Amino acid sequence: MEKTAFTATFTGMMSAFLIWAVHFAAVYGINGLICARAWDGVELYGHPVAVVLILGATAVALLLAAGVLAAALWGAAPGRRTSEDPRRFIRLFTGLAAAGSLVAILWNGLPALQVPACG
Amino acid sequence: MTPPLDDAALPSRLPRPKEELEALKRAWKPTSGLGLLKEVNNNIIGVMYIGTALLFFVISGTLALVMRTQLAVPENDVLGHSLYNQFFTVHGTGMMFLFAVPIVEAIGVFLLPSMLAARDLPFPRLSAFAFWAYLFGGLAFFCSLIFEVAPDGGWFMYPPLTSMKFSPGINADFWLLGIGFIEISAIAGAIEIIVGILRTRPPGMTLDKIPVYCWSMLVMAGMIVFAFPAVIIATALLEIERAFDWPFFIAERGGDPLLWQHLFWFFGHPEVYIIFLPAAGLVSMMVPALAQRPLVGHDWVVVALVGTGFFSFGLWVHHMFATGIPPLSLSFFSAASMAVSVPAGIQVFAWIATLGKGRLQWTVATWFLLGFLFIFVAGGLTGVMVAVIPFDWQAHDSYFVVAHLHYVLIGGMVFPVFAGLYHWWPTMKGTMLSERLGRWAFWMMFIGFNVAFFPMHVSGLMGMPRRVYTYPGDLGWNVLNMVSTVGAFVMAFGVLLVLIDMARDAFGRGRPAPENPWKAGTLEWIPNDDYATRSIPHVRSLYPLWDNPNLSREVQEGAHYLPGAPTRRRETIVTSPIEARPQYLMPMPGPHWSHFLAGLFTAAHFICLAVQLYWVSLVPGVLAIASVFWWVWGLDKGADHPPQDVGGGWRVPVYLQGSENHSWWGTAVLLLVDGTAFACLCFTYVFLWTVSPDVWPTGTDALPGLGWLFGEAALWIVAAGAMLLASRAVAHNRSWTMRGALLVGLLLMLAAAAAEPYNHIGSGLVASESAYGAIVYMLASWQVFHVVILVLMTGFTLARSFAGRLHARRRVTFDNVMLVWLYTCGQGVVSLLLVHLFPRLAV
Repeated sequence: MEKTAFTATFTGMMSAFLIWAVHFAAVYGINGLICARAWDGVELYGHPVAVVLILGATAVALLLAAGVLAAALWGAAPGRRTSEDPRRFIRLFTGLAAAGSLVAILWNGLPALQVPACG
Repeated sequence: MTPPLDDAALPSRLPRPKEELEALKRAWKPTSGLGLLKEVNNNIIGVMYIGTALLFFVISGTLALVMRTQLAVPENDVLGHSLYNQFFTVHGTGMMFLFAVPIVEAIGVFLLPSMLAARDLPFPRLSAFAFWAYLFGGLAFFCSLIFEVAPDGGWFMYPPLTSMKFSPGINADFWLLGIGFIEISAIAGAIEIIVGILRTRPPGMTLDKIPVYCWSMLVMAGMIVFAFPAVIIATALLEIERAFDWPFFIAERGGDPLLWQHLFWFFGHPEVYIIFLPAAGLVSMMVPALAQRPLVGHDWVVVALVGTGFFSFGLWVHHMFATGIPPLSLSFFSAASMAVSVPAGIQVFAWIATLGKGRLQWTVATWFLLGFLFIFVAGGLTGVMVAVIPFDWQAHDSYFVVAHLHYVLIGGMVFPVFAGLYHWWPTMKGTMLSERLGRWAFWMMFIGFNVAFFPMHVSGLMGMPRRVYTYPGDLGWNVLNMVSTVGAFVMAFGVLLVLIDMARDAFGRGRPAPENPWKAGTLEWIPNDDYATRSIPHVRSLYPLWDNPNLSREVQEGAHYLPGAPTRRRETIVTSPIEARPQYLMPMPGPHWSHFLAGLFTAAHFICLAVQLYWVSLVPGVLAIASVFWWVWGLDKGADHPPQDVGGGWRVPVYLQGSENHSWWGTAVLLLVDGTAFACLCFTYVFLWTVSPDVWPTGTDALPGLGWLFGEAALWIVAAGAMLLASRAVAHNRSWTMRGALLVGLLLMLAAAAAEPYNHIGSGLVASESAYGAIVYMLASWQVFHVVILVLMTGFTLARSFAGRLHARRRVTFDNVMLVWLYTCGQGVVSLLLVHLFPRLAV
């Protein structure tokens, strides 16, 4: 592996975790705002606005994390493999992080189907 | 007879010239006597750092024993109500801020360079400054107890209890200023650790070959960067509220005490993992050594460490389940609380699998590790219990939570640290602690711990609340409390045995250790000296000593990289962050008085502030800044030597500019801290608007005109342009253009920073009237603070320019200032957009 841009590589490795973090902040922020402004009675497409927005954000986050997983699984095959080539590790790390984040995003989004937004 | 080494494939040819080792020793010769105060070598600073953390552990633990004595029987009067409050606050604060975080950083300062075979961490004076600041600040904090002015609001210092109205003395100020200051020390350590792990690895140690402990420290330091600013901002806001009556947390004027809880726990929950992950990293290093086989699922464990670090940021509200937050919001945090147990579980299974597959050595460390596994898993299980919201509502603020947090923290951190003390003690000065005393200590601590804390689960479920200084005798808690007290003393006796064991060793009674006594496979077991290892090995696997039995001898004979001190001073190799290829030879600062004085004066400045000697505080404040200038003046030496041969065919420069320089990395990490602090202020703005829209302006009449927004934004943007112009001038050695551009840019920034508060004053906004006014002026003050720093930094840059120390081929100082400058301009524009546009756009 020749000289690699650190920022791009490291951000790529962390991308799935970052997607989880942005999703988490988004759903918490959406719900907090809806409750603070007493918008929990508002409906969107016939469903409570909180449910629609949170499930929408969850779907987007899941798609993005799945994209990272796919890129890690089927990304460009490493070329020259030497003992000093960390590409296998980078792809494994990215893939595992994406798989874990997929579960965490789903786990965080599902309560919107069961729990009332503002009580 | 040992066969000669085959040096054909080794980086440096053998035998090495005799004078090479002498030059290396001379460069790294430690100072002695009073000179110890000047020392920066990680082997010395690390040991003093660990020793100080243990001292604070003992002091905090002693407070716990007094509290347990008070609670042993009902209606006891060993401690009064007020003093008990001070005791539990100082105990909790001491354990969390003055023991747990510092000791994991201290172990890192001591262990990381040897695990990476670096000669030292990249900013040795920063480590030493962090240590002295911590020592002086910590001692002052504990001394507040002697004068009965210690903080008494609990280690989490919730307002309104800690607001001026309910805590009018200086007790709370000691916490807010003292701990805020000590966190600066923690951040300094984190910057050092991040840059050290990413840039001073040995050649060949690519990302996949980094020891798990280094990964855990990298995650911990990254978490400090993003978590600690939240509590620094929280403490700053509360201190400003107390000092100037700006109502951030006063509900009557639009503030909200919950803001404190959000900011505090955004730091406070990751803090648990900041403490646990390095301990888990130590375990992941000890387990393979003790089982004599590689860690099962190494890559999974690394991902689990990083994942735990991320997910732990999604847990802060799980300390706030009983505060009336909407149920769906609570569910997000409940889900995240359970999700974070998965990566923790991966690590536990990896350890058990490794222990199960290997041939276990039964050392003291092994016993402490098994004790850790038992206690930590039990604490993890009760953690899942309190993550379930209805259960938490029942157990909230009861002794069940006290039991849970002690199982997690003592099990998850104290036991691994004690295991680590016994395990890595031989790397300190080649002696071993007593196996017999160690086993006694372990059993006393293990039994004592469980006897002390298990009954608290029961007393908590029986309704005993936390933080009560006494209780009536007819509630059924008497026996449980007496048992807990006895257990606490048994555990304390175990700790005392460890201290006796360490003292025996210090007085020369320690057993000489054989080389690599546990037959471990990682680099810290190569015999080393003040200069670390004789040469820096080329790494080809995760366990280089197992894969190459000759490696230790090769390194000691100087057959690897940098076997001497080619420039006759302290230096180490800086490598690229992913492939670990040698990039340049970094000259390292040696012993000096400046960092010691900077630590002393900084502590004195904050202590003066805490005791309300505001004008007096300026004296140590100015002296601290002067000490820092003295410190950095001698750095950035430029390419004062030609490129050097470091072995393996690598001929590297002794100076590299731009984004590859290690100090550029340090500045970039510092700006991440700064950016997080600013994000916390922006969150404060939006949060206060969410809870108190009634104090926000409803029309444009109360706001400064949009002309101010565009005018000030233009000033920031042109100031950034002036810096870019100055940068071009440096590249072409046009010194006077550079100086002029810097001065013009600085004037523009001063104008922009002054205009913001000026135009709000003109609009009639008063900071103390409402939370809106408070946060608007806070954002303006934050920007002014940055510009004041830039005035100092620019002055320093100009001084270097006039001294001939800044030009096209020696511009590292300039580049670092440029980073801060451009960041400040960007921050200024974002701040303006938030303050001027948000009220116009918000519903």
